Amino acid sequence: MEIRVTINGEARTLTVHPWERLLHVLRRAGYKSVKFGDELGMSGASTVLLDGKPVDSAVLLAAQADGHRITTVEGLGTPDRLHPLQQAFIETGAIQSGYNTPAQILVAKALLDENPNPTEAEVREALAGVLDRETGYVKPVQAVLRAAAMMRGEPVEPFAPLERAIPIPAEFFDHPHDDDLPGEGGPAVQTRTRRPLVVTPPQARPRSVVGKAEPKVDALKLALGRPVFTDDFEMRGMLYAALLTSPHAHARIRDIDTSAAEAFPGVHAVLTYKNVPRVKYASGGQTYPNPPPHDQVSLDNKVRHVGDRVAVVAAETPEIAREALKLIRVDYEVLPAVFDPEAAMQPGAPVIHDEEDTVGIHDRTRNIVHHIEAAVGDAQAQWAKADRVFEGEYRVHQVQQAHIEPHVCITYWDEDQRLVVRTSTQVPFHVRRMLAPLIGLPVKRIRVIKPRIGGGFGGKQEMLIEDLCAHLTIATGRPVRLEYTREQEFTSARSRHPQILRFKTGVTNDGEVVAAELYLIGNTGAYGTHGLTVQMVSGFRALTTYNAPYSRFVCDVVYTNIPTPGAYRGYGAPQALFALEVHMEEIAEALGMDVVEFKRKNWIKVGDVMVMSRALGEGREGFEQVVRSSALAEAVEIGLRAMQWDQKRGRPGDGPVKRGIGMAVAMHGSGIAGLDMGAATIKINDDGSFNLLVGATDLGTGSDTVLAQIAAEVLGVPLEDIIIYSSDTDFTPFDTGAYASSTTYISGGAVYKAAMEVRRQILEHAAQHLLPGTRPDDLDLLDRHVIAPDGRQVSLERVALHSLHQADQKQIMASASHMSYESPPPFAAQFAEVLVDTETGQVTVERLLMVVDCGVAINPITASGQVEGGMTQALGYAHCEEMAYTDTGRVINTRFGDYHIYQANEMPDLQVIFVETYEPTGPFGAKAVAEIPKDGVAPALASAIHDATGVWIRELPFTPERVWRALRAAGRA
Amino acid sequence: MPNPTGYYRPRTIDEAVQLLSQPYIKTALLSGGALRLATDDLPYEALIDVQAIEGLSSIARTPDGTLEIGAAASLEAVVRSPDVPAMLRETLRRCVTWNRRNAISIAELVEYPETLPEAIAALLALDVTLVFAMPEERRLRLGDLQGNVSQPRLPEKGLIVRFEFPATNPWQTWGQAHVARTPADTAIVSAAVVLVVDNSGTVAQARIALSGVWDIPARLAEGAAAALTGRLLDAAAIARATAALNDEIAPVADYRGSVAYRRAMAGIVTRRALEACQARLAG
Repeated sequence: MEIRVTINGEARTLTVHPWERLLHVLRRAGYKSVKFGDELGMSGASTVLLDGKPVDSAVLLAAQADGHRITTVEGLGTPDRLHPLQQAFIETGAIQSGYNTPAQILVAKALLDENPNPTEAEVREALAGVLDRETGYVKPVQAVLRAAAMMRGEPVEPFAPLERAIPIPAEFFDHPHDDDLPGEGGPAVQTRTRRPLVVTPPQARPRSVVGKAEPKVDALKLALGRPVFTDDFEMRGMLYAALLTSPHAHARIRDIDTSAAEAFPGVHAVLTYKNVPRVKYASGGQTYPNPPPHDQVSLDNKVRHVGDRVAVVAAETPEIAREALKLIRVDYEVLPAVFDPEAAMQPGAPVIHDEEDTVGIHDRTRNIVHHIEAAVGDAQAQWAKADRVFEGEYRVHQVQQAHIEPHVCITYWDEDQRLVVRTSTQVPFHVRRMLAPLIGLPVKRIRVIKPRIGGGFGGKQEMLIEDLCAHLTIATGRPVRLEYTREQEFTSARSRHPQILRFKTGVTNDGEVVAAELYLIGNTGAYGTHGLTVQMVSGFRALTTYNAPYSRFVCDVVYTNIPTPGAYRGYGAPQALFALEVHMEEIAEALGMDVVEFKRKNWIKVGDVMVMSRALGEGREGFEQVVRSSALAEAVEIGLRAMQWDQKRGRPGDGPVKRGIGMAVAMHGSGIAGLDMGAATIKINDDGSFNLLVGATDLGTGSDTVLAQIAAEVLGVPLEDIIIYSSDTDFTPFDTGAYASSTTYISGGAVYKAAMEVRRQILEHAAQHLLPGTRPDDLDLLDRHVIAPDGRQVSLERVALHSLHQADQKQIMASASHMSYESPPPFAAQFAEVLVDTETGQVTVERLLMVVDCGVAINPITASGQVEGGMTQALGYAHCEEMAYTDTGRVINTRFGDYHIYQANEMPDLQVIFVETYEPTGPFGAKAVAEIPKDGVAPALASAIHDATGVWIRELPFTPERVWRALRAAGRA
Repeated sequence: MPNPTGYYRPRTIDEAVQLLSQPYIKTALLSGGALRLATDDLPYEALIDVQAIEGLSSIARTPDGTLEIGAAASLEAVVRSPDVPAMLRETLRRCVTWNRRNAISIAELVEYPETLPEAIAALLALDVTLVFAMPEERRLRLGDLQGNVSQPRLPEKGLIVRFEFPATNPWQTWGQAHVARTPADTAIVSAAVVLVVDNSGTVAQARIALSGVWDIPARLAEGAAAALTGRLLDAAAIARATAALNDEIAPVADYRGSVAYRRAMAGIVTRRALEACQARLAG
């Protein structure tokens, strides 16, 4: 059928099928700004304006749009004439991955079209329908308020953080800052949108580009909705893949009959265990050699969780592929399943990996993948010092990364018969290396391209679908696209490891922690990917913040029949720090000590050796490390003042709804010591600009911007003169990838080194040819010029032209690699303020403040965006997100809504304060910031709930029923 | 081929009813669509889009004060209309986002009651009547549809044309309460109450509806309402009502709440909703 629509003012006639959703028709017609987030329209990623009203095009038939006006972001502005909303989103740092930015801009446009002067509450209500997993909504709200002001003709100031030098005047936190953006709460909105505050040491050295609130280098194209994501790419002859997954938690496949599916018109290939080579691998995107066990194959004759791979189909259309899946007949022998890790370790439990070709399982019959033991210090002596011993058990649950862009991959043969893999991945180089043996091609015949990524959070640190897509291209010779459904994101992708953590801590009567032991049971689900390393990180994080002289970690990593956990932002730390911080506060309470004083007395300090750093590396022995920089004490102090801790703590109030305030401290890392490596290449162009090629992968964090800022600072140019490209295994140098908070510290270190070498070459050429009588060491780079001490200067353009074309010709360029045997910890103090309804157990989170020491914040706006977004994810982890199961191991809540992600209109007040230190091993003093926001929210909420009610809750999440039961058990309901 | 393979856009109710009656094609109405289309596996071969039928989206009061909301009116239109009872507007605004309110019609709300059970509870408390064209006009009180545990389905071959809300009684008051994981999350248990209280403070009429405490999304708690009717609206009466409620609910556990929790919450949210009524009367 034909529909007549007006799209962005242009009359169009489109041929559509009656079943087609408007989303797919618009994307086919070239409007790629309209994104897929889920099939139900709950994510809002597919939002368009229909006759000026926001609707989600995923749940609208194209036929319904017949006769209507449609607006997409492509119709709003141009690069030279941006819509004020696009401009404000860029200026405020509201764009991270940019995947749902078009949807946010469109709902904001609809709002401002009818209400040019909205309150903050109204903006939040408008944005509520577009789930944002990245920003915490702070900056999008600021962007809309800013755009509204611009559209009303009001002046707006450059968007920048507040800056204060230590010492901060005592009265600074006593009343709201006059320079906060105007905001207005509403009955359902407790928030006030603030700018980040950067607190600097008095001696901080001014920089030109580093430390500045530079707009993201990729923001313009994202604001314009340009086709920059994996699925925004079309190829002639593309086939569409669909994945058949297991309905059983544990079963052997006796047989698969694919004949009907193969005969279905439009089907080009059906792959099962019968026609795909059996090559063992581990899917985690980790450094060579991948940690054992290699317990997966592309397609197996056994399934180990609901959602496990069974078969994959390539067909002419997605609809045909889905129909073909229904025609595959699978004969399952259903096996007993086990979901609880303690039950899985018992004799007689179902053996999940009984296949002979998986090696490296610690105790196959008890489903124990790894048994870890590590201890440092003199146990006997330290326990003898302990006047009191405290034990506590804590349980944490399974949550999903829920990046709005699903896993999506396109594979095709290029003109040289090399396989190109265009994929939304955090680890392109690992994918290339790991993929090669599975598909029987040498690495040199594989090229992996990472376009923009619509969020990853660790979920894309995994080779999850690339092998299947590649197998199908090899089988058909055609380009193939495979994208997970939202349900598959929950059942067939990765998640956070559930854990049971049992602490035993020895303390002296005056509050000194002298001994600590942790026994951890990690549930790694059906496969062992990341199982070893996540639990080792948990152990390291749990035993390092308070750094007891005797520390011991014992861990069992256990197979069960739940969908496999993997890497998720924080990587073992959120679990560990919830348990640790609650345990420590319980100890302080039992000792009758002030919790802050108790923690302050014991937390690790500058100059301390991290006792477990050698014993607990990541998957292997680590390297001894010393804390070289920490502003934890200052962060806590500032946070206490900002929260008015002394005035609020211990004052729950009357009535059934109690108020509480809590805190936790957090410590993370910056990359993996001795393991992560990044590389960068920089070359000068004729006009004095530079190409910066990095293997690092910006998954929305702003790392491209930060890396470019580092290069720009060294080379004395504005950020716009750095053209960064990342990443393509054919063109960019190697990088382990975007994980472990490594990019700024490790990849940034590589950029710094490469830039320093390019700088050296520029100065040498200038001294030799253009500034006679000078020596390179006398020269400086500033404002696109080489500056001599006598005031002479020559432009970089002149240096470039001269070196490329005129004399002593050469390409000024350099490549550098960087790794580190240190992983300097960022520190943070996390605060929370809550209301607890003691009749219902409902917890309402009113305020979250994180005071962070991430060294020098290379870009305080992108850094604060990381903290705001990370705190919001952590809030979901602590409060409402949870993968729930049936008794047979099927995830119940695979839909957004059922799996509840915080919306813009229910957020607490979020605030970020940076307390800068100078980390001597980091580029320009930087440490990491990406993951630490995940670490402190859960224990700070537990602390606040305890402050409100006197009850400790030792299991996540803090659902109404869990809190209600705890209150009843304590007689406080 | 996936469903639907047919799409119709009738201009009159008669035309729509005729299309619905096609004997050999499984058809369904389409208004809004965000709930109907929330699956790739539609069981309908043809959809009849009612957007072009005049008057089906209107919201107006009749001379006798009855509020009529066209079946195709979007939830956003419902939220924005000052004529619509505040309880329904506040419930929808709290638990349905703007873009979804634009794409869900009020008819879909009752066709997919499990999606927004607390809104169904509000409609029940407000004593809504559904008017069908089949093609002759037929009326069904939502309470009669939803109050039965066996939950008879809506007539498949009938077109809901409008929702009728009784004229507002000057002695009427209302209250609602819920418990949820977060401020904008779907309620685990909710209560919606509409009372008519005479000038002596006696409850003349009570409609109490709850969600989350039966094996259907929401229904009226008639025992609790009966325990309240004819009594002064005071703490004792409220306690009687919540005690009566305990005898008539039959919660079903899910991942958000056990039977015991839902049972405990039913009394609390009902008490709070009734206390909100008290406060309104006092205020």
